[in-house]
Amino acid sequence: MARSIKKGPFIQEALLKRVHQMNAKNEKKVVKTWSRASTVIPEFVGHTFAVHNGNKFIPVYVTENMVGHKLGEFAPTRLFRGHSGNNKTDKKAAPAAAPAKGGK
Amino acid sequence: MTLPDCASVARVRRPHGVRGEVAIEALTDEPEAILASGRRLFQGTPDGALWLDPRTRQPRELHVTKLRPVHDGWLLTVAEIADRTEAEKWNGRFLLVPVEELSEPEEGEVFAHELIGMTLIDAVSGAEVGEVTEVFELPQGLLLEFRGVQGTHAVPFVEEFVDEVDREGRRLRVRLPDGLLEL
Repeated sequence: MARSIKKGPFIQEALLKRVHQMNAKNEKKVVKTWSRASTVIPEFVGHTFAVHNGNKFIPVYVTENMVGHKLGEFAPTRLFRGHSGNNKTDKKAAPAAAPAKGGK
Repeated sequence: MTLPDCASVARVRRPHGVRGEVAIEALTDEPEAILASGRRLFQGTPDGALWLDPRTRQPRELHVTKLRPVHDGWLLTVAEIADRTEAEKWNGRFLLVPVEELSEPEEGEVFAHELIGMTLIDAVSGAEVGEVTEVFELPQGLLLEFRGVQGTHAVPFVEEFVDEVDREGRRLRVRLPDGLLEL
């Protein structure tokens, strides 16, 4: 069953407070969190969260298209080591583009 | 025949049906071009190396006859796999293509496997930060794991933190966010 609209999205209070403080000071620091259930809101865009995956902290740089998802979705609890060893693949990558606008 | 330098373009997951079709996981950005009908592939081992015939010491060529998409990947037919019994022997094997047949990365791009072993240079101080040891594919993009002086850390492969990728020099100019090295 979906969460009641009346309640709004769940965001851990301490995390929200920390982001508001950083936005007020226009500061960008990695925010450590264990709150995988917190929803990404527009205020988070441009910030980096270190989300705990049960073993270690996974740095997650928040972009606009992550809004509405939970932080835990971006820190998998099992990491697939697909590019290990000498196995060459034809997967190309460029640094992913930054969001159109930063945090508030 | 000299052995070609190859890259993995697919991994066989399981047989599909009774006519020798196999379900594959594409390891290329352009599966429709690289695995198109008529293309030549080489048989790989389950660990991604080029398989060599024990008698002739030569690689085995495969010829694609059909590729079609399914909801969770692709179904591939090659002329050399005739039925399900033969297809069952291919579980977990990689399919390779010579590196010279692949398109070169565009400016600013790099093959994901090339990132391993690259040196991270701090864009501000010019100091060496560490060396990439692993690349993870996450829903939001690549995550680089690197070994620095204080241990192992990770950084998202995004423009915000990676200023420049130098393929020839095997270097990444990075701008790490405050607090990343304290994780």
